[in-house]
Amino acid sequence: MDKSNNMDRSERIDRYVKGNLDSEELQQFRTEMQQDNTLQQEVEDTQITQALLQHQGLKNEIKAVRAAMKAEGSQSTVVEENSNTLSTHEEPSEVDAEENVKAVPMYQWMGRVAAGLAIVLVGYLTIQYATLSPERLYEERIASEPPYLGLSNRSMEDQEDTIADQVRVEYQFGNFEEVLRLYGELEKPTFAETFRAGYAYLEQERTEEAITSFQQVMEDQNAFMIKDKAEYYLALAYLQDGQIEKAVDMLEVIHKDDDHDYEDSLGSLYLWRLRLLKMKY
Amino acid sequence: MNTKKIPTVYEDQDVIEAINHSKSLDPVIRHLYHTNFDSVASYIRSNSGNDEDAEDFFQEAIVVFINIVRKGNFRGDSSIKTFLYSIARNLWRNELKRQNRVLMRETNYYEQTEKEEQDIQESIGENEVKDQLLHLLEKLGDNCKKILLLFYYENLPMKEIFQHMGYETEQVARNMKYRCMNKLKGLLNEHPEMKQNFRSLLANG
Repeated sequence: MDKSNNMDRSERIDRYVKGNLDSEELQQFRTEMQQDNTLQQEVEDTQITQALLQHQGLKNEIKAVRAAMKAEGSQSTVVEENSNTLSTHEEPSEVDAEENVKAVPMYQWMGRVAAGLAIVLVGYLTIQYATLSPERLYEERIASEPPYLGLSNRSMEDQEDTIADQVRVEYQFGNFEEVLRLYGELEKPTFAETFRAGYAYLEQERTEEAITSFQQVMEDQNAFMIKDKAEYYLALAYLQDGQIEKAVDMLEVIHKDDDHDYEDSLGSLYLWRLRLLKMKY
Repeated sequence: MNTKKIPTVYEDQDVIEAINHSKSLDPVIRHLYHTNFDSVASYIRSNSGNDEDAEDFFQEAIVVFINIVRKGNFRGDSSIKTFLYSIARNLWRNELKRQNRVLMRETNYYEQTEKEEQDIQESIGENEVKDQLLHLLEKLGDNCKKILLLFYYENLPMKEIFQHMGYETEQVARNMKYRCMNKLKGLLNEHPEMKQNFRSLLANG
């Protein structure tokens, strides 16, 4: 049986296990299972792995909800503290409330609101400035999008005879240590393998090697299709390395270039924080 | 701005309904935390546990509770609050036994029926068997784990998964999922005893 048939069979088993077969298909499938012990075994294996994944998924979900609750809790505590502070200083007592409402003209209230907003804004800017770091901005960017995977037209069904194939597969699996080990065995890596190695170095926080890899890809004339991607990750590698000016300048250029693959991926707020970072260091 | 979500008021029956039929468990989990965490945490803390234990074991208790509900084994003989507390108490007692420690203060909170006790113990056992195999998922690599969770836990269709994962086509995602699944099955086969335990659980479940 070839791989394509195996996949169809596997997807049919999935539909059975998930209860997505219609009544006719279900009857047919059950008859086949009675006659085919291997199929029965495969169904059982799929049910076990599905149950295991559902167990992990449920744990992840509970943990995520709990983490969100805690984050919201600390946020609301800060808000409550702020509103308490305001009420201590600004809210009139019950006794003279009416008098105060009459006594304070509208422009004064507007002035107070504006002053309050200014204080909040200054506070926000101060916190932003104080907590801004290249590490933080790097982590935010790298976590905001999945790694670029489409470097090859070859599908996963192709042979994995060569080390280059193995590099591709391990990269797609996200096994970055293995990517780097295999990359080291390549005699003449192409720009595609070098790009993957660059990303793996980034993930492993081997920043200097990441920078060299992305620079190599950008210099390779055959790599024109992924030049934008290499440029973007090179900027992130500079950011990870603390070379702020280089990183910020590159990301600004990327943002202004209408034809760049990553033109849209940097929001205005992020760019503003990048500029702030440049001022800070 | 206060972004805290206001917990929805649930009756016990609503909780069961939501666990069995809702796509997202988020509001139910929040409700269970809001209404039960403090009493469970207090019990664990007064019996040699710390805050971290309280967090870990309450989380486990919710997993066990949801599994019992989904199997249709929560009959409503006691309230969810009492039932969840019993699960957490059993989990913590097992942990103390494992550490050869004894309970400092055992309150006779609720007399469980024999059937309830049996269901809870069985579900805790099942939980432990599953936990023993979870480390295999770590050997898959991040992308594999993610794609399988999206498919088997989130129940997302492949046409959404490939976009979510950043693959170029749906076919690449299908191939990837197929390979990852085979890899996981291979890892399971390296642990025939644990796999057999798991199989027995599914057969009995």
